Amino acid sequence: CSRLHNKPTFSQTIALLNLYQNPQNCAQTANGVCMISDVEMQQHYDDFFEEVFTELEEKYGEIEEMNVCDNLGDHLVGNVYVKFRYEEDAEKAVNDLNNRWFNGHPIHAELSPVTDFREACCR
Amino acid sequence: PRKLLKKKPYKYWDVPPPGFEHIPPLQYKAMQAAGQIPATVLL
Repeated sequence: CSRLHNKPTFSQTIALLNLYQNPQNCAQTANGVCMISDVEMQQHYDDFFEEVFTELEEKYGEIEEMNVCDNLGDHLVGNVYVKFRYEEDAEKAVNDLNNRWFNGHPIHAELSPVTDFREACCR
Repeated sequence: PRKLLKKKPYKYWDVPPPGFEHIPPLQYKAMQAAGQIPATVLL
């Protein structure tokens, strides 16, 4: 994949780039032993998911589906894809989120062409 | 009487990087793009 994707001007789905930081990806000792247990990692993830989902639905509109990337590629790690019910809500969310902070970082939001997450693979 | 569910306080939303509380995120990203601040700030 060339990664030169066409960005849609109208879509139900938005991508929030590198939003989720898996604690297991950074909390390693010098010899590569992970200091975060799987249970702690799951709890951290659940809290993150709930917080993001709640705020997005409350503020911008009904969500149909939300997915978080676990891939380790720079362009994918921690990406969050949110499919809203209405395209107008997705547009509103992108515009507003690009001027908000999240966990000490500015949010990078854009519209995404993905509509079916089971087919979201490009070659 | 039914108790209203108390909303959990957010841990992540609207938390700016330390020292950059006074500038908007859009400006922060523009400064990153211009190389005025590093692209990733370690917290």
